[in-house]
Amino acid sequence: MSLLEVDTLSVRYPGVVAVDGLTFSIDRGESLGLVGESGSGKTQTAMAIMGLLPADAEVEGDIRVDGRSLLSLDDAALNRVRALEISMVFQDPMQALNPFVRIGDQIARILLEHRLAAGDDASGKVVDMLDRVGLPDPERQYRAYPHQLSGGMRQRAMIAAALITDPALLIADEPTTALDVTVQAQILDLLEELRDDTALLLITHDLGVVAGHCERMLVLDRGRKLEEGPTRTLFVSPDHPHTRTMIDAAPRLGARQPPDPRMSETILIADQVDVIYPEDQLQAVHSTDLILKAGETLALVGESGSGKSSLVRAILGLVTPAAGDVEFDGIALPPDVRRRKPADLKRMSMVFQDPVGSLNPQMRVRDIVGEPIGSSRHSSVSATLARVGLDDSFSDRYPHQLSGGQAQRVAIARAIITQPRVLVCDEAVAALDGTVRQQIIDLLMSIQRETGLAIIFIAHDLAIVEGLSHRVMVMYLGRPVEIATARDLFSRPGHPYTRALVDAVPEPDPLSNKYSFVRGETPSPIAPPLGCAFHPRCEHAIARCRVELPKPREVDNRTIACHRYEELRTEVESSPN
Amino acid sequence: MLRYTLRRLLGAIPTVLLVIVLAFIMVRAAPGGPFDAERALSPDVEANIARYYNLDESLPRQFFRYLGGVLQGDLGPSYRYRDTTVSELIADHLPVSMMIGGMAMLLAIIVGVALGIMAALNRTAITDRVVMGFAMLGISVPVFVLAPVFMLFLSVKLQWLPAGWSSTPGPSKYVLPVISLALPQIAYIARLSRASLIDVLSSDFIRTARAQGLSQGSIVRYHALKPAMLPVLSYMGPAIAVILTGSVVIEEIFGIPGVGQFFVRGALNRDYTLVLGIVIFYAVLIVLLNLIVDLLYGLIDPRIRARR
Repeated sequence: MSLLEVDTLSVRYPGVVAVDGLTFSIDRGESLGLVGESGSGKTQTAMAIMGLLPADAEVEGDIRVDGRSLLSLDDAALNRVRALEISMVFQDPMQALNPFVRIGDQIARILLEHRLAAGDDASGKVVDMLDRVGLPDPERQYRAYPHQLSGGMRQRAMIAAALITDPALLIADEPTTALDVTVQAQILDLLEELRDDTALLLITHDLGVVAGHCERMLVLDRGRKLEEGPTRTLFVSPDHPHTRTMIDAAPRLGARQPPDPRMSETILIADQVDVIYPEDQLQAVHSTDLILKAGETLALVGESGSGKSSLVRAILGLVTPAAGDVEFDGIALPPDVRRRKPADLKRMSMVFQDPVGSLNPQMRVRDIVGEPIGSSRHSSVSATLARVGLDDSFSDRYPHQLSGGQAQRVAIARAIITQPRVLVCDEAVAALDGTVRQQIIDLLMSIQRETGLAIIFIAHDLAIVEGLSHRVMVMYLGRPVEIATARDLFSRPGHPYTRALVDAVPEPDPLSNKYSFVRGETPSPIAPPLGCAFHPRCEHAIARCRVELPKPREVDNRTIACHRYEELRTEVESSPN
Repeated sequence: MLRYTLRRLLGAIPTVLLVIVLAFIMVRAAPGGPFDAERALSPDVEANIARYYNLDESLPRQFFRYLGGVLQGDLGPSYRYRDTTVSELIADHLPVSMMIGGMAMLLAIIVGVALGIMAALNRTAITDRVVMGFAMLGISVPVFVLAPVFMLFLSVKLQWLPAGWSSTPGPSKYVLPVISLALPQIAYIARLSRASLIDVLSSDFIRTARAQGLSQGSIVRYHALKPAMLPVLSYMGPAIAVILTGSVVIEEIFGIPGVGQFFVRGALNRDYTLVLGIVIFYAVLIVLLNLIVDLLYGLIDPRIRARR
């Protein structure tokens, strides 16, 4: 008898079938990856197992733990199963932890509720658990509120809460999706290390995550099981063409050649820009230069707190920089967007991360696209819609009637209708599924080929950046650490942080056992470390790195801010691989 | 925390000043004056009185003279109640107003929150319908309708509770005024805490608590109640203002010698200093109580505490 048996499970809502006759099982200690794109029913399956579906959900079939059906249990019995046999880690620890209750008290409450411990014994157990999940100074973190912890630390606390009852099954629903790339690998590793004989049901859209962490995988598509089997077998010879498409669409380094660098005139210069947020008492960007050439794509890469979005906002005039200039075609632009001339505004536009959220829900597509030119009836509206691959039938729709990919096409149409020369894409494909993502990237690249548009592409995912950018600028804690052509940067990352980012990309290949990742998390920009900001996390740091800020230097066709670049370069070259 | 409090107090100065200016202008804009009587006074007497109270000066001069007094804590003499200052009038009649207002507020919070929670936790049951129906009624019926109806039925017809104020010695005379004043607030707070608790119960961290096998009771007690009470706490500021204005009506209806009653009489008699004095006093009171509410807010929400 398996630990968990899901038997022809269906979850229906009025008018929608979320899960359709799904059957699978998990043995004790086993790890199963539940993979699918958004809307495939993977989270609905997890919620059904936990008994957390909303009231209007109609459930059919059976879910058994140790042979006992969960669907017929009363509340008290179900509550015992939830804590003691199955526990769950959610996607976004900021949302999933109670902001009003101290971390330790939230976890201790589980022990108290199920009478597993009382009083000081409970808090002692929680401190031990916090220590095991790698929270530094666990006694102090016990008293911390969630907002006082970094994203990675919050997810560690979430894992502590899930494992404190030593459950037989752990369900992790996209446990690393909301985290920075270098932290993702740490969290996955922690889950692997701590779970011992606890079985794992890992829900993810990221095939790289499944490849490295699950023995078996199950592919879901629109609520149905496409196929199921050992992860290695499925990656090598999937039965179903959709699985093949998903594996091929999974971002991986080295899959796409970066385009040739562009030799063209410079159109946009940001010179020694400082961005300070006095309210938060932090400096987001420190004297940073940015150069953009006509027709090129410059990728701006970094984790949260890197200052990439703040830099771009300063360029667009959405925040007023505390210092520095922005020049377009050699002419300085007023720092505040409200003082820029309409003609200047039309030359730069932007596409945002959340496709549906960045469109006004009360406007029709035609009005959204026509707004920048002041007319929704103009022939260029339908021409631009056609250019982004949407026919006239879309022009009367509202944003909620669009899929994520379609909404992002509308956002791109709105951005290019003024025929701008610079387009800023702020994580513009991060919220999209793998297959749709590539279509949007292809669309952006073809628009660039036709119109000579220059693109600043903000992203945290290096694998996406590789195939589309001419140059890459890597930022860390408000400063650029490395700027190089995509070819140079990906073939030989120069800065230790660039290397850490490259190593953190989960490889969608079960046979690769690349397993090195950088320790720690980006420190708070409120109190950045002295010297090189990366030194506390850098395995190559020496005394000089701790006291002296490395200035950006031009070496080997790249700009790099690392004291030890030359030494490390030869070290890497002389090492056997 | 101290810096925040000081900043807030400084920030309140323009508000209070604006209130003084507006009240001064409005009270003067009303036709008639404090010494108009049915029988006209002789011009000489009128001029004498005007000179005595500085009413013969230009309006701006009068204003600054008055403001100067207020800054020194002197609200001036009442024009109607001879030999009595406005400060004395307020001090004498404030306790009974505060008693009624405070009890109404307390009752509104306790009963309102309790009803709101009951309704939120029994959303499909009859409890919710009854509570919400009652709340709708409580919000729709104004105090000046509610109070006389109560008086008519409970005091006059059934004779359960006393109708007169001055003729009743015991505490039973407080019951009707307090309930009439609290009822609309009970209704509003019940609706507010119901909506807020329902909202909190649908948040992600409650889902986490459910996944941890916590019972409904534990979830409400340890996870949901604190955040759900934040909107209720925010409402305390406006509620205080509503209770204060409500007390003006209530005191008139039940014949309670509180500050509210003097306010109404002062306005009718064009007792300029009395009206202005009470307005300023209430404005400062509301500003201070709002500050206390905001400080309490920070005590409940750790994220706000960090920002101060």
